[in-house]
Amino acid sequence: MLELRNVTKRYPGVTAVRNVSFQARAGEVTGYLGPNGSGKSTTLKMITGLIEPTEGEILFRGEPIGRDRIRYRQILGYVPEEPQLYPHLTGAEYLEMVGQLRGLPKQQLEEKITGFLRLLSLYDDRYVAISSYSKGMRQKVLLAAALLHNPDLVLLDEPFSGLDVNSALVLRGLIAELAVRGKVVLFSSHELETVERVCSRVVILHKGKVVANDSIAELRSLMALPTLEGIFSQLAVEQDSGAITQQILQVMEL
Amino acid sequence: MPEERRQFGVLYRDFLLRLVDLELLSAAGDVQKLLGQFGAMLAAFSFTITVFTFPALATARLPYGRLVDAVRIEEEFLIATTMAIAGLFSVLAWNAVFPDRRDSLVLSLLPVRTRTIFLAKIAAIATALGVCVTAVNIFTGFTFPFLASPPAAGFVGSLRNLGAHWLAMGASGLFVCCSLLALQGVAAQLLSYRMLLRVSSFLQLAAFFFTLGLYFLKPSFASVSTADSPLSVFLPSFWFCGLLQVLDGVRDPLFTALAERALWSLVAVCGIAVGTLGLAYQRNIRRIVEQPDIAPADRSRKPTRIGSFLAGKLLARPIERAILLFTARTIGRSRQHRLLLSAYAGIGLAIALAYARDFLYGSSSREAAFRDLRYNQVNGPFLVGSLVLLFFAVIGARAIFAMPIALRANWAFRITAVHSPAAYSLAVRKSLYALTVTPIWLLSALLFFAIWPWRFAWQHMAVMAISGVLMVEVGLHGFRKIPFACSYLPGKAKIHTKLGTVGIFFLAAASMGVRLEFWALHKATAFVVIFGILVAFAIAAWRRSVEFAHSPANQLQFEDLPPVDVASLDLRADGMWSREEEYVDALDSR
Repeated sequence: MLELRNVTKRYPGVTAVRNVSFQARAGEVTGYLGPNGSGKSTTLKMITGLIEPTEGEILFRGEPIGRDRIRYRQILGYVPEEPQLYPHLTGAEYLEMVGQLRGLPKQQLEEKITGFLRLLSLYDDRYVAISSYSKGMRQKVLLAAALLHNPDLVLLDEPFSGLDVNSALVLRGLIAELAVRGKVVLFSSHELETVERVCSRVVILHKGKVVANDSIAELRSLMALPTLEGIFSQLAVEQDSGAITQQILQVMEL
Repeated sequence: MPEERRQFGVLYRDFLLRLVDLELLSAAGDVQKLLGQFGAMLAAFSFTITVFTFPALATARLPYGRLVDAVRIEEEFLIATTMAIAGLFSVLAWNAVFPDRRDSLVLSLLPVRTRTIFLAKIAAIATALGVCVTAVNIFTGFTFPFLASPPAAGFVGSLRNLGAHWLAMGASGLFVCCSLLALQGVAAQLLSYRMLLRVSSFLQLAAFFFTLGLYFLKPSFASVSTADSPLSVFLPSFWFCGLLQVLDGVRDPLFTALAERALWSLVAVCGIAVGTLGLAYQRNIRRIVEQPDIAPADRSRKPTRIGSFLAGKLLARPIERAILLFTARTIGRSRQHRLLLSAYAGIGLAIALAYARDFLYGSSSREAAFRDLRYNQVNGPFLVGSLVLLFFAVIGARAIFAMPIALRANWAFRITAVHSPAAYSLAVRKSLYALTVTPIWLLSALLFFAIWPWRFAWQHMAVMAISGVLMVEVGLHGFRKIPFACSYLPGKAKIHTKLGTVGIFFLAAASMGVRLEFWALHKATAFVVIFGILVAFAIAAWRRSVEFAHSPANQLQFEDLPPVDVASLDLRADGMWSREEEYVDALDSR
């Protein structure tokens, strides 16, 4: 189980995340939702260990993640929000590098790379530099790199970004199946429909604070709203979208 | 029209500041500082020449005719230097000649004419070239013109000499710059845009080595006798020296012929450059938008596969393979890194050529290592040249290791850092050995075993091997980064100045060391003693590196920031481990 206890992240002049506490259990997909700038990616980066929380604790299987960071990195798979990859490497070379850095045996690594490339429809482009990949192809490389070492904790930050319909369907099924296999899956997305289908629980963040943390069914019943979109709008959307649209048009026509 | 002029002004300023490839600089692009340093370096060169040469000529009690001859040789040297600097500037600005994809994407959406973009680019290049030519002549340009003025020339005559000097220097710089622009323009006309992207960096490197090679290997102007001699026909610095003489008012058919050649060539290359580049701008702006910046190369080619195969066979540990392959692929595929490494290698090559020059024109040295030179006998120039090339390859690679590629992608290294810092240090050292010391050692071995008696070849190759160990171990001492994966901050351009200073000390040491080696090569006992001392130094350097690699101070570095700044940004301090963790390599060894 992944647990965040009162995690706060402050930058000079701004608090990005404030007293966030929640648990993501093995065998469940936990959705992590919030409007732009609400602190979702910051939280995920803190869980990866890329940035340190200012206050609070992050525990995995009951142990602070900083206690044995090496062992923690070995069981962590992460798909970041932006597909930042080395553009001069090919997809296969990138996966080879990540696998080698993780110390995977050569034979096993080769089989895994070939398998991922074939299944993610990247095999024909395996000798093409990542600089020529589309956003969706880069996203697939990130996904393969995150799953290459069969991690126990999977952090997915906007994993559907740029994916076509077929790949998105595959990924949706994969996320659900990862949970069935006992992984802890934390999944951040703006696609509420997908979240509603895949996640058993959701944590909704607004201005760096948790405003909801429950199962989707429980939230529906508590708020007497039929959809996750309705719940999200109620909890995390402050603006009147219709009015904003009109104002934008007015500014454009000045 | 006023709108076009305003657009020109905006574009001109922007292009001027981005003329030198900013990615060669630090992350925040301390361009002004670097240009200041570069300008100061050129001015310092001009000052040194003035201080060492001007007083000697000015006070020489020579008949006027002989004084003029002596000054002419110096003037040709100044012209050749100006041309070399203009050539190096053009090579540095090579990638800025055409708008890149980002510029094209932005500009093609705006109501800006291609003509305006082209003119702004040309104006920016001309300005920067003018600054370079002025800086490299700033002291010599106001002293040398007065040396050869006829006694009765008076103030007006001296002014004429001054004008002639600056005109000849400017024309020679313009000639070289336009030649290289014309080369690009013609290539752009003949090749498809994708092919141009592939060929361009090779042309750039060829231009760089050609410029340096010509500068260091060309003979003195004193050796030119007739307008039809090969030297007069093929050496542009001689043409412009002839032009300077004609502008100074010297009447001689040789100089007139050279001056004519200079003028016609200048007109031709300027015309070709402007014409072909103008056409290329019209043709390419739209095509640049449609193509990726890096041509999507097919990476299934043999060298890539051979490299992977060799890395797999030679390096048993996956982390070492990962670092070596990443390093090799970055050097092979990143234009910026390759160019900078070539610059270092080019300096090494230039120095080696300068030593080898004596093979062409004879040596006046009295020392055994440098007199009676024969290529198939052990000789000083080849001994120094091989060591100099090795040294500049090592320090060049060491310098570019510190420059990141796709910095935001380095999270992959952070998140997979499951090995001990010592394992990374070893992997980086092995990479430097594999990519610099090994190829240069092998090439030198091929050459020396082919041309020298084997005994000398063996001895020198042993010296080179130990020198390579020393260079790598000393060069990487305290290096805590994964190559190309750590940020690079403003002010770091000084690393090149620092390495340049080290280079000067090395040259002095190498020059003395080679005299010692040459002597020892002929005396077995002396060679054993000297080689033993070298081995002892190499072992000490290696042990120092190993100790540092395993010390608590060795923690992987991804941010080039002092620790206090890291803390204030609340970034995680890299490699801040408790040292109680079990690294993957430790677990593997059980």
